[in-house]
Amino acid sequence: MRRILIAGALWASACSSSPKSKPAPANLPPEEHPPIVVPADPASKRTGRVSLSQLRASFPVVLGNDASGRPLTWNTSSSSSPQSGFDVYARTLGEADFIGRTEDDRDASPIYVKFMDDAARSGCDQVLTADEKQNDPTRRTLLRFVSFTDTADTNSEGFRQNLAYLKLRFHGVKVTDDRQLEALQTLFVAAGSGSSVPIKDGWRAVCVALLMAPEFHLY
Amino acid sequence: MNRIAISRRAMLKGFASGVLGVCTLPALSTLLARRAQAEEGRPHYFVFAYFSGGWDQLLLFDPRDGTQARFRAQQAYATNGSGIDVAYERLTDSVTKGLLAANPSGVVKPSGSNLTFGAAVPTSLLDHAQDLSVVRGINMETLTHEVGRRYFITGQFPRGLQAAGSALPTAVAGQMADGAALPHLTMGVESYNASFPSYASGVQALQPSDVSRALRRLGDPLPTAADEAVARYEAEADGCETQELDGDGLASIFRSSRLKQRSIIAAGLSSRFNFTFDTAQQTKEIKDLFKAFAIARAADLFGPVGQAALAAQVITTGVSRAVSLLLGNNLDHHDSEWTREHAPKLRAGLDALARLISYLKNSPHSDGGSYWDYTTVVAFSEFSRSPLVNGRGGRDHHLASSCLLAGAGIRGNVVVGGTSDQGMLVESVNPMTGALDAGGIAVRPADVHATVLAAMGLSDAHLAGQSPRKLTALLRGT
Repeated sequence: MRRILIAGALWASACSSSPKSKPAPANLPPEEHPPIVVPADPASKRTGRVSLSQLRASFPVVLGNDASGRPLTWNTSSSSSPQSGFDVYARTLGEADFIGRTEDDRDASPIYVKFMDDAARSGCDQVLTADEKQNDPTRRTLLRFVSFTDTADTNSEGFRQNLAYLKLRFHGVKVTDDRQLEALQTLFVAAGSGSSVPIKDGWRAVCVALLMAPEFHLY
Repeated sequence: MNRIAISRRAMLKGFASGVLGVCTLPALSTLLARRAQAEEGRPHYFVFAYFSGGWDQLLLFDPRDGTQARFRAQQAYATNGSGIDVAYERLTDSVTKGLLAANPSGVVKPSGSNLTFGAAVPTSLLDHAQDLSVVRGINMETLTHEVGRRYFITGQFPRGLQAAGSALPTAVAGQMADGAALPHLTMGVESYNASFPSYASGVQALQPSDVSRALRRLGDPLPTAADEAVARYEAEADGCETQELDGDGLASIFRSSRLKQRSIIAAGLSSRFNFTFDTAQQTKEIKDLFKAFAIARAADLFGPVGQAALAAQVITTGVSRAVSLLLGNNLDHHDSEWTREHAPKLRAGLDALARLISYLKNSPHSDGGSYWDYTTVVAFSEFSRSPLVNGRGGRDHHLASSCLLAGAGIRGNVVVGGTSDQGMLVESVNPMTGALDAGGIAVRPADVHATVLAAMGLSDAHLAGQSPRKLTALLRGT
C-alpha cells in the first residue's frame, strides 16, 4: 500500500509541478545566434480558403447527382450545352495554369465570393429540381428527412433533423445543440414568406446560405 | 588645431534664420500636413501597360540616328565598331518604310521636346510628347522572359522563376480605400499579391463581357424575399464554427467580401460594359467609346484598342483603380518576323495607349479637371532586343531596357538615364537630375516602382528590402 502511495505521489508531482529551471552552467560559450522562436500558430495550421480544384471536387459530393445520375456542379450557359463555371471562370478566379500563373489565388476577395454566389444559386436550383424528381427520400440531397409539403410546424422533428443533416453535409459540423439551427430555421421561414412555393424557396435559400458560409470555403 | 572662423555677420544671419525657422516651422508643417491630406483624399488611377516578349528600343524610346555610319551594318559589326546596327533598311512594313523614307535618321524629336523617339512610335503618342517621360538604360539583370517580366511587375528579382513581392498595380490598389468594385483589373498580365489586402489582387478579364459578368448575377436570381432573407442571415449568423475559422481574420474578410459583392451587384454597373455592335442595343456611351478607340469589329475587342477601351471604361466608371494591360504580345522576334511584325505591333500597342490618354484627357472628373489629371501610366517590357541583328535576321534579348512614364505626379518631357553608343550598355545616372553620371546609379525596376508610387503619393515600404532610389528628376514638384 505504501509503495502505491509513493508511486502515486511521484506521478502526481510529475503531472502538476512545473519544470524547475536548471542552474546556468558557468563559462558558457557565446551564443552563435538568438534562440529559434517557434510560432504559436505555424503557417501550416492557419485558416485557408479552398482552391478552385477543391471546389470542383466538393460540389458534386455535396450536391449529389441529378435524376440521370450525373454529378451536380456549377453550371453556366444554357442547359443544352452546360459548362462547369469552375472551368469557364478558372482564369478570372485565379487558378494556376502553370504558364502565366504558377500559384492558385486563394484570396477570399469580393469577386471570388460573387462568383461563388453564382455557383451556389446554380447548384441549389439543380439539386432542388433533382430532389423533386426523387421519390425515395433517402436518395434526396436537400430534403432527406422532410417532404416537399412539410414545414417546421407540421413536421418539427423531421425539419430539425433535416437542418442538422444539411449542416453536417455542407459544413462537416455535427449539431449538438438545437440553438445552432435557429438562424437557419428563421431563414427558411423568411425566405418562403409571400412566396407561391414557400417550402421550395425556403430550402433553396438554406442551401445557398450554407454554400455561401465561411465554413464551406475556409478550413 | 584648425579653428573654424565664423564672422559676426554670418553668426547673426544664422541666428536670424534659426529664429525664422522655429517661428515658421509649425505653419510649414501644417501646410505639409494639409497637402498630404489633400493627396490622401485625391483619387488616383494607374495604368500598367505591358509589351510581352522584349521590345526593340532602337524603334522606340532609345533610338540611334540611322544616317550615322557608325550605327549601320558596315561599321557596327567591325572590331571596335559601335555594336549597334539600326538595320532600318531591313524593315518591310509599309508604314515604317514610309516614315524612314521621309526621315532616314529614324529618330523623331517633336517640337519643344527633350525626348527622341524611334520609328515605331505613332504620331498619336507623339501628340502627347509633353506629358511623356522615358527612363532609359534600366538594368533588367536577366535575359529570361519570365524572370524579366516578374522582375519589372513586382520590382523584386524573382526566386528562380517564381515571382517575389507584389505587382505594382496591386501596391497601388492596395493603398487606396476599398471603394472600387474591381480595384485591380488585369487583362492577360500576371499579377502578384504578397502583402496587400486581398481586394487589391488582380482580377483577370480577357474581354469586356468578363467585366460585365463580374458585375452582375449570373443565372437565375433568388426570389426577392429569399434573397433578402439570405442577406439578413449572412449579416446576423455568426456561429462558433465561423469564429474558430477567424484566427487569422480570414472569416471576417470572407464576410466583408460577401457584403461587398452585394453592393457591387446593386450598383448595376454591368450594363456599362455591354460592348455590343448591335446598333439597336448600343448605348451612346459605347458608341462614343468605340469611335474614340477606332473599334470597328468584334476582333478589335481582343486587341490593344479593345483592352485600352475597356481600361478607359473601368477607370471612368469607377469600377477599377489600377488596370494592367497587355498592349503588345508575342514580340519575341528572334527571326526575320522582326523585319515584318515588330514595328507594327509596337505601333498598334502604343497607338492604343495614346488613345487611352486622349480619352482620359477628354473625360471630365467629378473632382475637377479630367481623368488624366489623376491617372499615372507606365509602359514596359521584360527587357529589350539586341542592338545587333542576328544571323536569322532578327534580334535577340538585351539587358538594357527603357520604360515610358506619364501622367499624374510625373514630370513630362524628361529623359532619365541612357545607354552607351557602344553596344547600348547600361549607363549610370544621377537620380536627381536624370543626367548620365559615372558616379551615379544603374536604374533598376525597384527604382521605377518607388518613383511611380511617390508620384501618386503612395508608400514604397513593401520594397524596403530592395533599397529603392527614387528618380526625383521625374517627380513633379521636386
